[in-house]
Amino acid sequence: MSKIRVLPDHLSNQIAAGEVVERPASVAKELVENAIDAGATSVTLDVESGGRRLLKVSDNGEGMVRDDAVLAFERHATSKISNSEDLTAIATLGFRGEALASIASVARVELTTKTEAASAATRVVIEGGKMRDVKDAAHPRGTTIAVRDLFFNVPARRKFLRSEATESFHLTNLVTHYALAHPEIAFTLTNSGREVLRAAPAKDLRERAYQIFGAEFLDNLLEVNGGSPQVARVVGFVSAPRDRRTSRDAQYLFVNGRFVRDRLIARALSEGYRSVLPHGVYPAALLFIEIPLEEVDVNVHPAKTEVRFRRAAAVADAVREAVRSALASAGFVRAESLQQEPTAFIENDSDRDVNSMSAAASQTSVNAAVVNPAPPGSLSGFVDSRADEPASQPRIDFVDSSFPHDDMSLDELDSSGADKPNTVRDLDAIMRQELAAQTVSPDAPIEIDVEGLSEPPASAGGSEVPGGSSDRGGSPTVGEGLSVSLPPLASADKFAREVSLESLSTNIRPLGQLDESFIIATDDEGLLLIDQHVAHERILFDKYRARESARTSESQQLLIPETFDLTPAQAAVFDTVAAELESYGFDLMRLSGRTVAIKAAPADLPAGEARNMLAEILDTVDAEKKGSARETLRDDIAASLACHAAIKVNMPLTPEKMRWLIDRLLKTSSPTTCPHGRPVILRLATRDILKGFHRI
Amino acid sequence: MAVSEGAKLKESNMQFVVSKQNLQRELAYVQGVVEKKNTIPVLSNILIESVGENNIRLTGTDLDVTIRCDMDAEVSTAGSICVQARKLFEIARLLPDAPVTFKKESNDWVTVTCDKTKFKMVGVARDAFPEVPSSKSTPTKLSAEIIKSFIDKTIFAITQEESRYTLSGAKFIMDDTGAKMVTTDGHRLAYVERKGVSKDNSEAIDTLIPRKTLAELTKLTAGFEGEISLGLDNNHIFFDVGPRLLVSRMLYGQFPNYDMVMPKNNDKSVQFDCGQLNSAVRRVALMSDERSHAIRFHLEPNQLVISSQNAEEGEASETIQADYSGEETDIGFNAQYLLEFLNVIGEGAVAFEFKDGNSQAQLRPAEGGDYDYKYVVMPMRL
Repeated sequence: MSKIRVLPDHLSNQIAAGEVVERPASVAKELVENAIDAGATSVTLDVESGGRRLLKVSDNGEGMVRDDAVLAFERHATSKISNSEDLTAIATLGFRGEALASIASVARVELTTKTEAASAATRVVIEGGKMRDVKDAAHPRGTTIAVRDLFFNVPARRKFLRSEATESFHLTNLVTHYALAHPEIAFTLTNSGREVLRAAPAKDLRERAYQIFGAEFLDNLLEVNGGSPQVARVVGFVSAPRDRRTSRDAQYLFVNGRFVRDRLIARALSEGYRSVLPHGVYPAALLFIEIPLEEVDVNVHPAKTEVRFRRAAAVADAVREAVRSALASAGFVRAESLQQEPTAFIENDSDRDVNSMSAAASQTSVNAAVVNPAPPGSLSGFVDSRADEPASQPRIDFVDSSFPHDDMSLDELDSSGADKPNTVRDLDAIMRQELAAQTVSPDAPIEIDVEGLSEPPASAGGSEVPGGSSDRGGSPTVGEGLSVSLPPLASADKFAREVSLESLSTNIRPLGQLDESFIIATDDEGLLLIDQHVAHERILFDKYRARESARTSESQQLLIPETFDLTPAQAAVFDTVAAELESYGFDLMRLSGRTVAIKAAPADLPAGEARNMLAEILDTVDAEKKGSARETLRDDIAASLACHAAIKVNMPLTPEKMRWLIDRLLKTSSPTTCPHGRPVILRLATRDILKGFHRI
Repeated sequence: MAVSEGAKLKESNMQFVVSKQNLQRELAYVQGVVEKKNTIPVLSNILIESVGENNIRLTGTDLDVTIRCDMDAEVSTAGSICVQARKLFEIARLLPDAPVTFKKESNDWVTVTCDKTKFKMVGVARDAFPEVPSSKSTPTKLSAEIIKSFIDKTIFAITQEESRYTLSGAKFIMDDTGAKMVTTDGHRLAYVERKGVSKDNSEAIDTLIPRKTLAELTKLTAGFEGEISLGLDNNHIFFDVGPRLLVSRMLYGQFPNYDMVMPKNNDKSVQFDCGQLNSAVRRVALMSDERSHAIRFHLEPNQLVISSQNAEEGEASETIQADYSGEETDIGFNAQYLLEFLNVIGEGAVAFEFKDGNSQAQLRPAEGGDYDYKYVVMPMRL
């Protein structure tokens, strides 16, 4: 007996519904698109319970005759395309013919529609995909679809719906998108009897943006008008760089009138702001990209927020250039700076290289000179290597030049170990040479050269090295290496690793400092390098963060209350976080519409920051994770305080201070990483040291 | 190019002698406005031009504020030079007290000779220096002392935040009734008025003066006695301070309606000795939160208790005897806001008028004097 059978229609519709109908907002999307495709000039949405109980979309479009109204709920029934050629040039928003069938299979749907010519309207009632009733009804020209009890027959789906606030938020966003894309159409959104958004027909995008976002948003917008009709016309608005967002939420991107979430365009947009906005900060944008229909494929996913471009790079270029020139004409960037930047980079790089090379070279030769009382030849070498420095102040070097000498026995090393400062300075010198060596020739082999290592250190020692060696380039002698790359000293960089938390014991003993910047210490597993700045930063960060979360929020009342216009999305979350905002120190009063008066603000904020802070909280606060914005902010404050208060590099520390730093560091919440995510401790494990010396 | 070369030839060897003391003094005024951030390199320069045979004119500008000083000099060859303002000022300060000779060389270089010292400075072409707003009639007169006092009494309440454009200066109004200046940062407001100062031929003035301009004006008026002449054109306000002229771009925008926020029904009032209150607040503020500077005023019959606490460091309180008979009231303040005002008043009695912990409090010198000086502070909610 065969096991495979063709699924009945209602089941396959339910499956398809999974793709199209994800949440109330996706139902609304399909219905609004239908309304727009029907030529409506007014679209009204009524929702209850975030669209779960009721989602009603009414339009005054062309309507349908009775036969069409019944047929509309069949799968792949559509008026929008009729042959596969149409599919390559889709001008309507909908086209798949799946939406109504899918929606009807998972909800109770009532459709009432009337055409201009018809004498009466038709009402069609469908529940869970089954046609219940078709009869005459009263309705003006246009179509009204009421979707009730979404997912009433798919409990698994219903469970996955988020809170009412979240669903309302998505619905509001969705209507905002379409309202922006179609300024000529009036949109009204009512949520449980409360009007969330109302936009009368506007004459252009600017007016529509004003209706939705308010005057202040508009003041910060720059007009974009660029691209070419062959590749992509790019029109709309982007925000001036002073208007900063922490998310891409305020970016509304449309391709041929269809709202999309497209990484390519979003990235091109950010690219346009390069060097004007820092990393992690996003502009607000309303961008409408018109692309020849055959150049873009919207048939990627049933939800149609993804699109594919035939010439993606060209589209991205068009967007970036259009944004760039909008910024340029407003004077934020120079028109040609885009071309200049790469060259500037290269120059900078090479500058830095030259600098570091000369610094390194002079460093090494100084060491050479110190180690070995110089014959005349070396003097000229000394001078040469510093020729590119305009004037230099030679230093009196008090460092005992005894260390790298071959005649230094192990005993002497031990004894000098007791004399701590000396050891440290010597170690210091080695590391510096090491560093210099690496900088000069990054290509130099960093693997351990067995031959080199097994050679007596005499060849690397200062006394044997001809003083003038630094003048002669190219010869592969070991002595030559001293001035440039020090081959006998194999680099241990591949052995130094970030330390995992588990491997950290409390048995850390500081030995000294490297470059007055890194604490050198040992623990049971080997040698440790601790970045003193980030270590202290971590200690302070924990302290400040604790203090920040313990502080009571004091509130400074404002002499002159400030008004603040919320976007519809911000207004949607406003109510859910109002109480919390109050506990931070805000005193806010909802005025008419979406305007809020700020009567008091957290006392630790500068006066002008209150509104930015409010916007930031409202933008970041997801209905689900309240409070995270404030927490993030606390962490930011603590991190920046800690960074400024922490001891810097190039600061000598007494052994007691090193001890204290290490002890405190170990007690912090995360001793191995700094608040910015950099490592605090590197370890050179004894095992690796042994390996490096080929003892195991 | 040909034109500028011609101009160069004409004045290629300007030469004059000035006294070191005068030079240093005038440069100190001018270099204050010269831009430090160097957005437009030429603005870091100072322009020196001859005016007749016995005067030279020094001009420095950041395009928002311009200061022009005329000073005595023996001009042997007329012309102009343009050199680094900061460097010239540093030179002038260290020169011995002797006549200083300036001579323009080719390529706009300038040699500065004083006694046995000689400097050769890189200069720029005069044409590169921006044209500054041309002088305009300044019909309105106001004594330097009043202007200085106005600024001292209000400048501290101007917002530090550049983004709050219309609050980044002082509202200055002068009409038949008198002159007033108002500043605010949204948390507190300083108001000073002096009646009956205008003369008949004055033109009415109602403008917003940027903070930097006020700061420079304070310097110019220090040690200057007499009257300052004021005038406006479409974009600028002119202050004629004797031989020195300050021209400033005005701020545009809606300054808040300060009349509306002046407290009208503060029914409780108490007086303190300003010095005593000042030191008490200062001491208690040591233990306030370091960012909010919050302190608490607890008023009860016959005394005021000022207190603060800080989870990290501890707490403080101080009691001041006062002639108060109203009901007990608690009000929180930013100590910084109070101190800035008390510092200006200095000594004497200060009247403190309030209603409750949520309404604006007002402080003013108890003895009126010539000035009507009021300071309105919004309390903190603690």
